[in-house]
Amino acid sequence: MDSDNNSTFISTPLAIVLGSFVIAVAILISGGVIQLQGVKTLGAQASPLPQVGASPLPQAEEPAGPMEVSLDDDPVMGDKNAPLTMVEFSDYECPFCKRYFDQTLPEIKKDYVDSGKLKIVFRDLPLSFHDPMATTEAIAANCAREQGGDSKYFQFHDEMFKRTTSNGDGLDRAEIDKIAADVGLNASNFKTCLDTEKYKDEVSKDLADASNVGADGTPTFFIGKSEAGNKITGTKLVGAQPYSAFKTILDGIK
Amino acid sequence: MKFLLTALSVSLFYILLNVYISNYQVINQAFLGDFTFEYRSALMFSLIQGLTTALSATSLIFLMIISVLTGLNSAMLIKKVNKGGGVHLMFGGSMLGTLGSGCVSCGLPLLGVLGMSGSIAYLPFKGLEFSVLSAGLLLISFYLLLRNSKKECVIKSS
Repeated sequence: MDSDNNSTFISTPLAIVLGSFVIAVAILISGGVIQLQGVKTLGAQASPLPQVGASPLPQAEEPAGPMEVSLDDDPVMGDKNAPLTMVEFSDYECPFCKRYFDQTLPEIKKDYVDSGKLKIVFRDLPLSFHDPMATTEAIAANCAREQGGDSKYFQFHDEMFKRTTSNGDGLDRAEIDKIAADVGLNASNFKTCLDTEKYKDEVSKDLADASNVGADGTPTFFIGKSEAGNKITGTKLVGAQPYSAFKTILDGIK
Repeated sequence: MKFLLTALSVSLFYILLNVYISNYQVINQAFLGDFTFEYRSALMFSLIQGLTTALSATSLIFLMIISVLTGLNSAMLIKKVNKGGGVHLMFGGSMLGTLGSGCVSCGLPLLGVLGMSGSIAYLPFKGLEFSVLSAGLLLISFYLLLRNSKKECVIKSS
């Protein structure tokens, strides 16, 4: 091959590679702009109510090891004195959260929660691109909790995950009201609670905490030993991982 | 044979890279901390298995296509480098693929690393664009490498 052919041989694929790299960078830059807007709207989109963290939520610098995560005053599934704790950041409109709920949670519940080894703290991370329904559903679950505590919260939570088809339009207001009636909530009180977005601040607080611990997708889990002081130092696990991933981490906690 | 082994190794590496990007904190912790070999291997095995539960079917298919194409492109380039063609890296298409595939959650791991997670969801096909573009670029790249590689065999008569 002469030098011209040699040059073409290398330069053509290289041009494609460089071209794709330029496209990647361009998309990333535009993505950054979109994300800035997206972060601003986290917990605030389509709502006139006050919010926590109105400015872009800062991405926390993540430590290499386990991270300290607050349990806040959020609903707890299982024995509150269980030796292990898992904090779940979730979005009722996220299809991967639904998949985790359908496929993995039942096994974790059977083997760890029901036996008193683990408690699961559910925290809201309604993603802005699933709003307004994601935030509405998160508020609705908190309205259910107001009427019947954690037990009613998880009844409502279970029904929403069972019935939603996800991706931002999995449920509508009529279906949420129907779920409220089906789990035995006082319809009038529930309607007032949801219409006034009574727990909007609570949901926004969860969003801010999620951002502080680097939970930027759903579902994200933090798994660790239960500690005093309403927090855990947990291992971060991202995605609808299989039961074996949770089991490995839970069994490996020393 | 060497070509296929290289392609396979790079493909596997690419898949593992996606697994790592999705859950680098827990993997770092397992490998840098005081954990047994059994723990580490069980964790890695379950996270690899997690590709089937934590990805949509479309994402998983594209991940496989892009990993194979990345492997083939890399093997071709390595072959060329060994023949004295100089060192050139082929990362662009694969990088796009990494951005678009491996979405184990609602929000992308690599974009998350870059502080941009979530932005992809505003695209019409929720990031599938990256995968399609990536697969297309890698396919063109491989085709051109293959075509030029054949040209190399032509013996000019004087």
